[in-house]
This record gives sequence, C-alpha cells and structure tokens, in this order.
Amino acid sequence: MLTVECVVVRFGATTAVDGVDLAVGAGETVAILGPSGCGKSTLLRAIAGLQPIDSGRVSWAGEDLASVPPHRRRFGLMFQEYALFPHRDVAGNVGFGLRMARVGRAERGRRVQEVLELVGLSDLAGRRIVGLSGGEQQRVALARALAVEPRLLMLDEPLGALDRPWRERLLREIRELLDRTQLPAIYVTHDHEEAFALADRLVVMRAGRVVQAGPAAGVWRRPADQWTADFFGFGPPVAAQLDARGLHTPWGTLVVNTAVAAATDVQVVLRPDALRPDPAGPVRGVVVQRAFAGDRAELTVEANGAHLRVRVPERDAPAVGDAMCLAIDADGVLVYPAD
Amino acid sequence: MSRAGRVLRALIPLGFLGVFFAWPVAAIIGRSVSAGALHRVLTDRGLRHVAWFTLWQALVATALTLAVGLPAAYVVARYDFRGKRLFRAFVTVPFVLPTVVVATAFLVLFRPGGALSFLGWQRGVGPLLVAEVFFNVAVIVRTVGGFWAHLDPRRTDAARVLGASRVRAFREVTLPLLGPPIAAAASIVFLFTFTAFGVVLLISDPAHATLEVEIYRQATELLDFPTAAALALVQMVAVFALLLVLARMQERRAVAQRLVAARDASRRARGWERAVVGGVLGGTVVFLGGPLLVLAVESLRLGGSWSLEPYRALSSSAATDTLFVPAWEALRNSLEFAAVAAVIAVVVGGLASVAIASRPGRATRTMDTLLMLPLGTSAVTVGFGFIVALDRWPLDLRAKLVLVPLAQSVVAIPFVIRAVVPALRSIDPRLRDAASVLGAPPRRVWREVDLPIAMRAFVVGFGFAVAVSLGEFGATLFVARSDSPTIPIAISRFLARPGDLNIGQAMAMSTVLMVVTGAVVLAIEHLQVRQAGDF
Repeated sequence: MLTVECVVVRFGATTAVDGVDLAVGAGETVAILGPSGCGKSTLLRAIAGLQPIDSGRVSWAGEDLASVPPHRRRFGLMFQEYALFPHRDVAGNVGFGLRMARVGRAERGRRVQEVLELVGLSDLAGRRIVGLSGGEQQRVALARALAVEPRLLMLDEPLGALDRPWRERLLREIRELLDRTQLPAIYVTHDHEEAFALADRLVVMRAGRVVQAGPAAGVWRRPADQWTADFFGFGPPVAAQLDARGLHTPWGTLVVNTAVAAATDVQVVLRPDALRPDPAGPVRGVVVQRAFAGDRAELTVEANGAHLRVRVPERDAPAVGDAMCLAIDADGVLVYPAD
Repeated sequence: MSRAGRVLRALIPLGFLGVFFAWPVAAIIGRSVSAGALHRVLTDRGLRHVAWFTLWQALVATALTLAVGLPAAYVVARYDFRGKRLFRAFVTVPFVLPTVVVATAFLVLFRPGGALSFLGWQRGVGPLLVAEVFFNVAVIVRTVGGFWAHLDPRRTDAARVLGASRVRAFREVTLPLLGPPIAAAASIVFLFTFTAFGVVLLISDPAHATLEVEIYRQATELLDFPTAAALALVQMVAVFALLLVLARMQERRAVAQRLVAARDASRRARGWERAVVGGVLGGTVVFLGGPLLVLAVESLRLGGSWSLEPYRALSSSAATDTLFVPAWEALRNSLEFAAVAAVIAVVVGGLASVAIASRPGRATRTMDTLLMLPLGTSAVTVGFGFIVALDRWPLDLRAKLVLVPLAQSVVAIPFVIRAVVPALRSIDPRLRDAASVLGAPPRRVWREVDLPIAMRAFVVGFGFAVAVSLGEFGATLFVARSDSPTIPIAISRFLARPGDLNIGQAMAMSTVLMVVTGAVVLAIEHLQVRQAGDF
C-alpha cells in the first residue's frame, strides 16, 4: 500500500529525514518511535504531502505521489495538539473534510453523527472547541480524520498532551478502532510503551534515520544498538570483556552465543526480564535502594561494584541493606561494542 | 495561492502607497532641496527654537504619561475587579478621540470661569502637556498592561520564596522583564507627542509651537513651501531614526518569554491593596473622564444657565456664515469621507497585511517596514505632500473632494495593518495543514481558515479606520475645500472665533463627535474582547 523509499528532507544545512524507507501494508499499524527532534513528524508531513521532499519517493499502491497535492492524497492526519478549527463547532470540524469533498448536507450530517458515535462524542456535536477537555479534543481530532474515510490514517503523538488515565483509555480505544476498521495506520510517538501497545510493526528513528524496524516484540528483545536499549529504559550499561570462553562481567562469566576468538571490550546491558531473585543464583549482592511502584518494588542491587536493577513483587521484597541472590537469564544479556 | 496572485496582492498596496504616500514625500524632499531651504532651516535661530521646544515638550509629556499610565497598567494587569473590561475600553477612548475634541475640552477646563481656571494656565504649555498625557495614557496602559498581564507571576513567587521582599522582587524580576515593553510604549508616546499637531495648534500659544504647527504655518500662512518642506524633511528624518531604534528594540524584545493566560496572573485585591487599586482606578477615571464630562455638561450651558442654544445655533445662519455650509452638512461630510476612507484603508491595508503575514523572510520584513512608514509620518506631512504633489499632471486632484478620504486613508492604513497582521500571524499554520489534508485546495484553505479567523480583526481595523478618519485633523486641514468642511474643521473654525456662543457650538459639535467616536470604540472593544475569549 504505502511505500516510502529513501526519502530525504533537508532544512537548510540540517537533514531532518535522511534516507528513510518504510512500508505500510493493508490493515497494518506501524509505529514510528523516536525522541523528539528525530524527524518522525517531518516524515509524516512528507508522506501527507505537506512537506516537499528533497529526494526519494512516496507512493501508494505503486502510484508515485510526487505530483499529488496534500488535498488529493486522501490520507488522514491527526496533528500533534490536534489543530482543531477554533472557529467551527465539533460537528463543523468533523464534517470539514466531507464538505471539501462536496458531500451533501443530509449525508454529511449522518456521517458526522456516525463518526462521533464511533469515538463516543455523539452528544457534543454542537459544542464549541474551546470548552472541550483535552481528551474530548483528541477524540474530535480522531473523528475529523476518520470522517472522510481516508485510505491511510496517520497519528502524530496523539496522546502527547493528555494525563495518564486518559492516555491509557484512549490508547485502548484507538487500538480497538484500528482493529475494527482495518485501516492502515502510522502512529508516531516518543513513548515506547504506547508503541508496543499499538503497533504490529515498530520503526525506531534517530537523527533522521531508521535505526531498527521489525515486529514490536523482536525489537524490544534485541534492540539494535545501545542507544535504542537505553531509549527503552534498559541498563545501566556495564563494561565487560568478551572472548572465546564467554562474557566476563563483574558478576562472573556468562555463556553467550556471540563468543569471539580475540578478547574484546564490550558494554553489557541487561534487559529488565534478565534478572530474577533466586536463592541459589550465582550473583550475590546487597540491596542499596528500594522504590515502591505499586504491586512491585524496584530494587537497586550492588554486586561486585556494579549496580543492577531488578523488579520483584512488593510483598516479599527485601529491605535496603539485605543481601540478595540473583540469577541471570543469558537471553536478556545484550552485548554492544564499547565506544 | 499562485505566484502571480501573490505578486498582485502585494502590488496593490505598494502601488497605492507609492502614489499617495511615497510620491508626496518625494515631492516634499524635492522642494526642500531644490530651493536650498534645508540649509536655511538648519541655521535659523527661530526654527532651531521650534525644534528644541518640540523635543523637550515631547520628552516631558512622555515622562508624565508614564507616571500616570504605569499605575493603571499595574492594576489592570494584576488585579481582578468588577468592570475591568469597561475600564480597559474607557481608557482607550481618549486615544481615539479626535484631537479637536480633546483640545476643546481642555480649553473649556482652563478658560476663565472653567473648572481649572484657578491654575491660571489658559493657553500655553501647561494645558498642552496635560492634554498630551490625557491622549497617550492608553498607549501605556494597553501595551505595558497587556504584556504585564501575561507575565508569569510564578517568577515573582520564586523570587519571594528565595527571600526577596515584595519591592525587591519587583525591582529584580518584574522590572527588568517589563523594561523593553515600557521602552517601546514610551517611544510610541514620544513619537505621538513629537508629531503632535491639533492640540498644539489649538491649545498652545504662538510662542510654543512644534515642528508640525510650524510646517502648517509656513505652508498656509506664509506660503513658504520650501521652508515648510525642509521642516517636514527634518521631522521625517528624526522620526524614522526613532522608528528604526524602535524596530531594533522590538526584535530584541522577542527573547523567549514564558507568558501565561491573563486569567492566571490576576486576582482580587486584598487588604490594603484594595485602597491602592481603588485609588488608581478612581484617579484614572477622574483624569480621563472629567474633561469629557465637563465638555458634555458645558455644551448644555450658556452664560451661566442651562441651555440647548449651542446645539440649536448649529443650524442658524450665523453658523453657516462661519462654516460656509450648514452644520449638518459638515456632519454628513465627515461620515461620508470617513466611510470611503475606511473602505480604502481596509482594502489596501488588508491586502498589505496578507502580504506581510504570508511568509516570514527578508522580502516581507522589508515590506513590513515600508508599509509602516506612513505611521511614522505626521498627518501634516501627508496633507502638505498631497497639495505639493497632486496638483499637476499626471495626477491633478487639486480641489477634488476625493483628496480628503484619500489623505485620511493614508493616515488610517497603518492602524488597519496593526490590527490585522497579528491576527493573521496568530493563526496556527497547522490549521492550514489540517484543512489541506482534509481535502481543501489552497485557495479554499484561505477562505476556510484565514478569513473566518481574521474576520474580526478586519472589522476592528475598519472600526479604527472610521474612528481615525472621523477625527483626522492635520491632513484634512490641508486638503479639505473650504466649502466642504468636516466636523473637526468646523470645530476649529468655531474655536477661532470669539464669544461664548461660538465656543458653545464648538463644544456641542465636539460632544456629538465624541459620542460617535466613543460608540465606534466601544464596538471595537466589544469585538476584541470576544475574540480574545474565543481563541
């Protein structure tokens, strides 16, 4: 369906999007994940046709879109902070695209009501935009993008400005909506939990380039580089040595399948699921910090001079100063070249 | 919009101002240079005295305006009180009131037997300075107060928590942040007082004339066009130098400022603050409202008793002798001229605003400055330029009625631009993107997004243009034919005649003009408040 090939967007001397490839298939949700300023919003604007591209190709079902202006692409775009029209009421916003498409008044009213029901706002049709809460505005923006039945839906940080309870609720609703409509979608966010919850496929961007792409679970299990692991909140990194016998860490030698002949300095990052409390575990340490996190406790354990983070059920978490034994699951040990 | 369309859109305002502003100015420069008048003007002692007086009266008036305006700006910015909207509108009224109305009001106050006659000022510098402060308080209250209201009060809170006293926090935190807007507002007041004409001509005495009045005198009484032109040139250079400094300052003012909604920054006064707020509000209301009230009341009195005679006399043949036409015809002239001028100003100023706001870049910045030049040019210069430049081939408009609205529109255009450009610039560009993605072609985007959002600003600009044109005095005085006076001209004719009935008729006409202008201003304020609440 949507194919983006080697797209480059430059702003003066800086390259905002630097040779990005991307494909979105029928019914697929792709999340573009990256920190702010990585070029993900610019990429969306380029796909929508709002941002001219310096080179590369954006095409839909094989048709090059270079000469198709944004108003003829039939792509829905939900803007960061929504960009709702302040001079029109809710129905006026939602029906805007239909009006542009010259849909008759009666049909338009019917469609608007239908989409408003879909997002659960059917009784707000006549309300002004200014009085709406953030969550309501978000739904209006979603309804506005959906009303014209776009062939692709793009969402730019749609939950960015919302409080946590709203975020979780709307995230679930967007997921349901995308499942139901089978609309191909691109979801741009800087929050990996949002991306994991929503996407079939994940594209990680950094400084205008795609760092890694693939199914969400696969990307999380094996981040392509240390920066990505860090972005997912893994860590902290610890210096180690890799040679033919295995990986020499402060907590002993681990057998890993990436053994090399010559000894190499590396950085080791442990995925959160790599550590578990185990009285017979090989790593012995002392709890130096304990943070309450609801049903869990997050412990920082000092072992052989290095800090490890481990999550345990809150009820039987040890206290600060207690000794603790841990087992390490080799699959969760991520090895990156030392820089 | 297509490229050709964009160019056309920019060419109309540039062409209009080229013919009706740049050309007259060029003609003035030509006159002053060709006759060697510039050298004469720069060395003449009498004229140097005029320049010196112009400068110091402007400086003193600016300082006094700050002293009166800043307390009111503070109260409006930081406190909630009932009738705040009304107060803001009320403060604006003097600023848009015709100069002749204000001049009449102060002449009445200071005349023998007037409410302030005990000061013994009559005509002269004292009443002049008071009138100038009266005019310009609005500039301080609105620009400084507006900025102040959006200044995050948590900064001061932070200073207080860190151990600064109330006064210290103001001095260390608020004042440095307010510095640039205060300086900008003060420069605008200086600009207005430096080029003051009507109040000086009508209130001051002959020994204390400004450059504006001297230009008028040289051109119309002494018929010495080269000297008048040279004086106009000197004034223009001084004003443009000031405008450049002002533009620089505004660029620097653009440092990142965290601004908050005014609602979060103001609160009700407590304890002793109530006395301060009440005192400042009361004092301001008396200072600004008193003269106008006295004017309206005195217009209903003649020879110490209540009388409608001043109004009735307006339709008398004696009045017609003074004005050359019946008084109601002056009113009709004023309304017609103002309507035509406002339409021209909105069309030309609107197109210019669209061009200025369309995209940032050096070209539009240059255009911005070019289009603002008329703001810095005094009305007298515009009027004088008209009679110097538009009296021969290829554009001979001598004694044509259309000169009046044309001159008034040149004076009013900057006000339209000031009203419309910020509204257009404030439109979130993503709204246009959203419309575009939803299927709106480029021209439709303008109609669906820009126009409806900026509509109120266009209406406000139109209102300002009407108010400015209704009260326009300096330029109109040059170009109006004696048999088609406007109300301000008519008032000045009554003022120039002796006798209670003549000044009574001046007061009566001033009151009428004040009511009309006040109604226009209140309508504008109403629209602006709704706009601020909406977006």
